[in-house]
Amino acid sequence: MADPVVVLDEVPVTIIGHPWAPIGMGEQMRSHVHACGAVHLHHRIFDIFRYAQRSDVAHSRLLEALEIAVPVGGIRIFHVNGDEVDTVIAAFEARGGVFADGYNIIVPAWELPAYPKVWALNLRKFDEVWALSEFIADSLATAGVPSHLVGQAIEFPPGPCLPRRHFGIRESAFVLLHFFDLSSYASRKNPEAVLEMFARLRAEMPFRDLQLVLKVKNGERAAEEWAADVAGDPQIKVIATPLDTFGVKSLIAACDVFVSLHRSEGFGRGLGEAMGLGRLALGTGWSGNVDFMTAENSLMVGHELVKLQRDAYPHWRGQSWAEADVGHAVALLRPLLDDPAHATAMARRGQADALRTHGSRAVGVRVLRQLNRIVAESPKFNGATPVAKGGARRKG
Amino acid sequence: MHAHRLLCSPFITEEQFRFALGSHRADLTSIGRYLSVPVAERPNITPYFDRTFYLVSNPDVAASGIDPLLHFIETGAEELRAPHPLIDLRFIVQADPLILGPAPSPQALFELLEYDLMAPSPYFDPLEYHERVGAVAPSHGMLRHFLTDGLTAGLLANPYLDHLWYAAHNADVNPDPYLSLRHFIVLGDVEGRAAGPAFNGALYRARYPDIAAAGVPPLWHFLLRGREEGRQIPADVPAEPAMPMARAAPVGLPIPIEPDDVAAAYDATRRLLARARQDRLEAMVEVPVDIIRTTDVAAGIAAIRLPASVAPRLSILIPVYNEIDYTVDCLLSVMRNAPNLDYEVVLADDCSTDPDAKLLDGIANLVLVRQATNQGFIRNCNAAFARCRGDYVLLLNNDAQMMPGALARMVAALDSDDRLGAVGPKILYPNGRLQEAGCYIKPNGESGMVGLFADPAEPGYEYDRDVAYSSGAALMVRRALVGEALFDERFRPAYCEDVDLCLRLLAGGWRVRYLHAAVVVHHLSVSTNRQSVARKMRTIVTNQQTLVERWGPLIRKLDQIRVLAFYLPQFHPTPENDLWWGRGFTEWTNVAKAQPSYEGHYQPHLPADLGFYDLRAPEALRAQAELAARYGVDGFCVYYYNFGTRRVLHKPLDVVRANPDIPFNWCLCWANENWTKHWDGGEKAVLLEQRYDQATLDSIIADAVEQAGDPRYITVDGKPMFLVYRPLLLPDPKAFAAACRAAFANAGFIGVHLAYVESMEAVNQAVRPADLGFDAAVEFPPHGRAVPAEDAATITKDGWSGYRYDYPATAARFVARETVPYPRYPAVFPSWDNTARQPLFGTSFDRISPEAFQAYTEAKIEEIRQFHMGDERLLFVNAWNEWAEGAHLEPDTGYGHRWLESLHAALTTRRWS
Repeated sequence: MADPVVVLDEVPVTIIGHPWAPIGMGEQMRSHVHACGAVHLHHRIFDIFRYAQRSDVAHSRLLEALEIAVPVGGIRIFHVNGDEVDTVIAAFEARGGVFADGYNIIVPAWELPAYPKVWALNLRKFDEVWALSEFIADSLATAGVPSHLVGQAIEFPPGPCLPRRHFGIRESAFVLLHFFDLSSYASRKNPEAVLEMFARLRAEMPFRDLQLVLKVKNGERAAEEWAADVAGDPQIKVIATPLDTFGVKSLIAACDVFVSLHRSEGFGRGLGEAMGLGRLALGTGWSGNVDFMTAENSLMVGHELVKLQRDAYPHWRGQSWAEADVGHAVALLRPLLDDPAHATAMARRGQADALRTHGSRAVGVRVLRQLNRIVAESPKFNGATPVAKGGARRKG
Repeated sequence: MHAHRLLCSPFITEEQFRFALGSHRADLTSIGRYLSVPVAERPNITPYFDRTFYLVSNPDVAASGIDPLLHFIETGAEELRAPHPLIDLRFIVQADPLILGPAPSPQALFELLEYDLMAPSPYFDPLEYHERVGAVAPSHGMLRHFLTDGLTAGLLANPYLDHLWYAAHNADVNPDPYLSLRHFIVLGDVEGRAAGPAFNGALYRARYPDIAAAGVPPLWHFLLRGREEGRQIPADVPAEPAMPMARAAPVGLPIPIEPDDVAAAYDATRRLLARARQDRLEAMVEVPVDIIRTTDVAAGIAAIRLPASVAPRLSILIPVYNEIDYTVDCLLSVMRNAPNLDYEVVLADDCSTDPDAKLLDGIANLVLVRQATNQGFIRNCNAAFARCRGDYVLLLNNDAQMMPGALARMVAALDSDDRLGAVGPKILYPNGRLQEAGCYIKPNGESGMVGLFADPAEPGYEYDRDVAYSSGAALMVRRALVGEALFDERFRPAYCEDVDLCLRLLAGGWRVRYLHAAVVVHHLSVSTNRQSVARKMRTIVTNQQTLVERWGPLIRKLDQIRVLAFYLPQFHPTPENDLWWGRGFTEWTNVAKAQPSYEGHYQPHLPADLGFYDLRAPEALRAQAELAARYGVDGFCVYYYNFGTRRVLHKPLDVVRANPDIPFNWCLCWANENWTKHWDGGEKAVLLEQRYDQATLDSIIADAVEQAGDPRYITVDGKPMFLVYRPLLLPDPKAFAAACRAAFANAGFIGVHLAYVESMEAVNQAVRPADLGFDAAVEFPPHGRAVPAEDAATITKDGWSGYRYDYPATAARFVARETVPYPRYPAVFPSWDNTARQPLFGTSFDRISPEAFQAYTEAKIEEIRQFHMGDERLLFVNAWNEWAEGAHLEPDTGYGHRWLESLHAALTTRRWS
């Protein structure tokens, strides 16, 4: 009887994309590198463009030993988007890879209920597609693209955090954290709703020790201008300095509740990471984040679905997204301010749930199942000589 | 003709000869055929000779044109020339001058090698090889096995020389296993190259200049002498960041935070703690266990006598796949146990390929279950379980041996406590180290063996206690509780199925208990260590994920920890203090005027968020309780004072009692010591004397009983907890304890949980709580184990002659301290400094940092996981608010909430991993 795991060890697995990039696609890929490490896969990583700066210590620790300079055959998992497929394949081949000589998987991100048909054509160049959330899987299905759900990992390695003092966050306060995005298409993140929610909380409880921390994307003009407006407000803290992984983890750990009143999220990493760190999550109860958020483990904000306005997002035509009910968000959070024990219990539940379903190992096990299936079933491996000799080696 | 000598030499076996030349050695034509081939291409007719090696190391032979093997047989051996990189004649003769005969002969060498009479080279030890390779090794001729089979199977000559790694890391090395091995021995070691991930010659030379100076090959030296001499292998790790120095700040301002320091302080402390624990493990002298080792399987089987049993009380379930010799050892050990007990052995053979497996048929009264096809561990066990008839079933791995008395003790434990669902023994490695004293489970499904690699005689492993589970290597369960299938098939092929079994019992309200006096020796994983490690690890993590998906809430509940902080109720004026120290005196008076004694000394500690509070105010108590709860502190251990029925400092608790809505959870700790002018609890300058007359004791007990009635009072298993600070000062602790128990019982409580604090004279006594009539002890750091600071300080305070200690080193000592044979609740301290009370004679800890505190706290949580269950999972903190002792979680100006944040981070992290 063929043993798929043994066979898997003979097949190189390469995770390809933008491993060093401080953007969502980079985080998505790194989360999968963590996941594969958690299940002892012999994987390698490949940086397709080599643009990104390599200054983040946590990235180096994760990636350096795994990186290869020339792509190999075997199974290749591309963490790239549907619109960059052609440039990625071209770059891949220019760097010495042969796209046709391996089993290619693509893990695209996407944030609206229907996946763009033009990109779906690009996805068909791959042997299969993995989905980061049910939401994305459903979205892909609308474009006739079948996918396998693997999710992404939200777990940070254990270790210390920078204290609130480092960020200038008030230690005594109940802190709401929001990743404040005013870039193009930022209406998807709906930062205005968070500001409105906070304003309502303040109006209802003017002397409550609350603080809103807004992590602003570096170099974003609209946000900087906006930040200037609130300068001097002791209850709003704007953090505009760029943060590395350690800094982001510390900042999330420094808050009491992570707030996202998004109109849609492909997955909703920030909410998941906050839950994994044992913090409360408050988010619109719609799109990718409902893979790990439930009414028992977090604060799920009510919403109504609305049609997208013209040019509110790429491929907006005919799509809908959620308009969070700010009043409901306030109503959900208020009682927890007066009942910290309940808040703690919910955060603990959230931590356990998020790490159980989206910890590195949980995602790694799902990846492993897919890989074993591929090796057992794909004609590229089944019965044929292994594509290349893997790194697995026995010690005496 | 010389060539005849070659063929007639016993150094060459007939078998090899025939294999190489296809003819009989006595056949005269074969010599001709051999010699007609050019030297370099002549067939290899013995594994013990490497022609190329011989020619390269002996240029004179190369020049002479004589057949090298013939040269070795005729003269080389006598001249102690090495025939092979792994056969070092000088080394052999130096170790035993006569072993090769008066004139070293090839024949004697052949016998030495074939019968493993001694190591042929420092690089190869037949005994070590045999041990390492396990059952696939032949009975003799280890070097031959290694060279002919082992190398191709990926085995190593010794654990340090990983020739595969070596080839992969040196571009000039041929990847052929033998050639890379030879390259290292001939050249690489001389050059000081790394032999593998476990040994780097250059680092070894760098650490030991004498070896560098002698010019000897480093690994050769290490194997030959260095290991015996206790020399250490320097690890090839990047330079460790040093423990950052604590930063100073002007009075009242925050201590600066450097992100790099935050990470470095944590990492450096973790390493220090790990080193301290490792040092303890290494200090153990290994005494191998006297176990049964069957060499003749048939004779062993013939000696096995099993009882004929109609209705056995105990079924011993042994799954087997090959390793019949181990199985025979196992059965003999069961038999040797010979309990006065009706038992059966159900042995499940999972289609062994070993021909010896047939011999098992000959064992009378053995219930033998034979699988038609290989079923894997779990199905094999389940099939055998269906055949078990006993009330109890002992799952026993076939590579385990029951030491005398083990069976009877396990049965007796189940007999005597009908709430026990399963019992597990103390499991040892054959080398005498502890394998497990029960196991624990983390919320993420990973598990740990309690006391792994420790000295099994350590007190902490010498008492029975409940555990989360005990490994299936030797687990006795009540059959009726198990149900149809022993193991859940979702864990196929193996791993974590035993955890699942125990969790099923716990979920049903049953307990699992570790029995220290029942001892089992377990080879551990002989049956799996030849598999791909990665594949095994993948199976394990996949099954851990399954465990969490199935048992998540139960595992989390098992792993819950409560944090209790010592609490000083001093912070309010009292008539006594007004009289002795001046009107309005509180500890704040001393705290605020403290001055640094030396450069970098963090003083004064000034309160931040809560201010210079007055504990007569309910708002202050509420703020404390809310702050504590926010960061995961579950309650306070409040000092209680009573001098001859005169209560002192009781007001704060009076306020708490009068305000039931303040979420202030507490228990009492009777601070039974004199109040003195020196704040030292001593005998001089006594202000209030602690008395132990009956009236005093009665009033103390009455107060404890009265307070325990509050719903916020802290209990352990429903029993209110009551602590005594200095138990050894009690004139009659047992009588006191008995009086307490009687009073609580009279008041309708189900009992009282009495704990003593390891303070002052109790700190190093390891007094058994039971000897005092108590239930448990509580650690009280830093008392008794402080490690002096080594660096010199620049003293800035005139007349100062105090004491400086090192925080991380002290934490390491508490983490690696001796275990005890009773419940002792671990405690941590954030910092400690009594300069406020003793301006000129203060004791202070340097290199404090919230991150070091976090690492220390995480290590103590690990200790709780190993030694405590249920309500007894308590972590104490010294202290919540000992401001004049510099030991406070409460925020101050310098560190703010950082101590609380670090405590919270440790607790939050440990809620998963």
